[in-house]
Amino acid sequence: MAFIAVADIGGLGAREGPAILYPWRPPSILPSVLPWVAMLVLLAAPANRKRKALWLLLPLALLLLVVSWLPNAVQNDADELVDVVRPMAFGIAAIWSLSFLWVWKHRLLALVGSFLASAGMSVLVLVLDQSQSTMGLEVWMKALTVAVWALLLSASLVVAGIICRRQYRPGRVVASLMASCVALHVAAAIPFVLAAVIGQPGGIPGSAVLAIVLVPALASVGMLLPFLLLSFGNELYRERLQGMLRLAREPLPPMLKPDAAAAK
Amino acid sequence: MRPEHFARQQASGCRAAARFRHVGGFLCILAWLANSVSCLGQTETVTPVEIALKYSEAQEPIGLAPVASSLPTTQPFTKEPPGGPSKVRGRFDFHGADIPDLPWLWAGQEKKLYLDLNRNGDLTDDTNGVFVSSERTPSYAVLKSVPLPLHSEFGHYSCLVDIHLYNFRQVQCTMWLRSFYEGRVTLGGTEWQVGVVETHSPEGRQLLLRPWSRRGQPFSLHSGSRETLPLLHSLFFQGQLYDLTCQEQFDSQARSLRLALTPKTVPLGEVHVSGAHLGRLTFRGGQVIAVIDRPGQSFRMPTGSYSRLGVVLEAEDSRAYANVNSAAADIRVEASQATTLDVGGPLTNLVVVSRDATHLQLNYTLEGRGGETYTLIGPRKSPEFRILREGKQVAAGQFEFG
Repeated sequence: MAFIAVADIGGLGAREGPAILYPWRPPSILPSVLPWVAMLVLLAAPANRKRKALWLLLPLALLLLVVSWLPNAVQNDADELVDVVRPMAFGIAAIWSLSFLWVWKHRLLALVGSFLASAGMSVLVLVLDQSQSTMGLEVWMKALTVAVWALLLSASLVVAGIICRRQYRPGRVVASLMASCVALHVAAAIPFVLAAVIGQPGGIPGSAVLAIVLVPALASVGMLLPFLLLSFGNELYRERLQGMLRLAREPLPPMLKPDAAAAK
Repeated sequence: MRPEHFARQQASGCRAAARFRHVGGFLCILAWLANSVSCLGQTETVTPVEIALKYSEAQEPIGLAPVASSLPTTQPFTKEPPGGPSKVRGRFDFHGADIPDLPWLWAGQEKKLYLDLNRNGDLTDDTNGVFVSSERTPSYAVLKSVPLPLHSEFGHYSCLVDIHLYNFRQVQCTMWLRSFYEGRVTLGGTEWQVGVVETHSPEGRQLLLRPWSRRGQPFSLHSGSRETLPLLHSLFFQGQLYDLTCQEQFDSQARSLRLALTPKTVPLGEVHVSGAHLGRLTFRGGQVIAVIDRPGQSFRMPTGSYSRLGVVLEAEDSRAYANVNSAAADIRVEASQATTLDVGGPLTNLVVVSRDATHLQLNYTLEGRGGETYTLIGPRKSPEFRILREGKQVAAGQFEFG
């Protein structure tokens, strides 16, 4: 391919520069394919060898579609947030696909399992997404962000299970997950906000504090929502959600005694 | 007196001494002594070109003002005007100058800046020290034509500044200088506008040197046009090296500067330049700055080593500049052999293509004959690019600044 620069520089030179030849080769598709291959490997686990398990790819694909549209919709300041949202989407999908390992187990085990699955998958996707020029400290910082976010998400799921008091109702699950997400993100942001306030003699605006706390919290809820909807509609993942959050199945309608039925 | 006149008179004096040799040794010695005394007298009478520089105000900002920074302060001043809760206090700090801080108070709601011009801590008794911002927002203020009080060991004076105050998160201040000292001088048969801009920056005073015909045009220390130069010890201009001295004078409370250009004889070397459209070349080496205007393909300048070269190209209505800082290998000008410089036009619009993983990065550069990078002076449109595959255009776009 040939690249030509065009600019009006008056009498100082020609308007059109010489053609610069550059051999363009399409970029390798491996970095974009590998996360999907990793997802298929997870779905190949014996417990996932069911058609219903494959529905997990739908919320993931929808989420990635939204993420690909985000850079055009948000301000430049949110670029770094967008960079870590894509890996986090794969991380949440990893929690859902591997949750059979810790359903109806101790909540601490669920927390550790969810964190390891989501952080591992997210960091893998994050590293694959990086270009050569951004390798180094920047990637370490993003990996740390992703790991902390994965821990917050896993903890939010566990706390939401506690808030629901063992009762499974979709609306209640969503509400308690939102509450736990916001609460945990606020708790995690407090040290950073304090450091910023101390570091800035003039103080920092309230809108900036809200942005630090609320944007990641709402992004967490937004990312979890498609997977929750899948769980509400898909029997396999509903059972796993109930097991992961340790929520009892919906109570059965009271049975009538045979005598009472006969009397009628 | 110009050096060639001096040499001519010295030669005629020596011829006179030879003519009277036959009269006797005594007379010869007398003649030689008289000639020597005459020559000595002529050396001492090399008169500098003196230029009186008067205070002048520019319509546009020239450069950053002498104030180094603005220090916020929470301690109330002795007496303050009413300004409500949005009052912000501070002091202008004149780094590197023996001038006390200047207290100020910004009343955001009233959009007023109060300056303690007499520095007595009372911000209500300075009748000429209240300035109103033209901006609507209380957190950003632009205060134009503020006379900033300064003083030196000879007297008090002021410089004109535009003050920009920002109160986002913390108070920040930027000052743009609008005043300078200017005069007129004829050198090499051309009239020149000569000026001195006092920035108090690490670069020190700046010398304005441009044709008198351009006097009405705005100038800036940051434009790259090389109309302003650091005011160093020596200036080579119009084929002559001058020692520069700049002294301040106070006449009936008005401050002016006196710039003296004392001619100096130094060996010159030949320089060839391969490029075209050369408007002004500046060479800086130590405390010497050489300014070569419209040099053509070759010119002579003082011998020595120069580490910084500034190039300004001119053609029709376009101008461009380049900075060539050759710290690794200085430009050496020698009397024995000519130096060749590969700089200048014509300029070439270029795309620099590089790959970053899945992205292709396109950068624009305006390159000179020797590979030096130029920047256009004045307003300009964003450059564009075209991408061709097998002769057919497959994409086109515009480069973004920054």
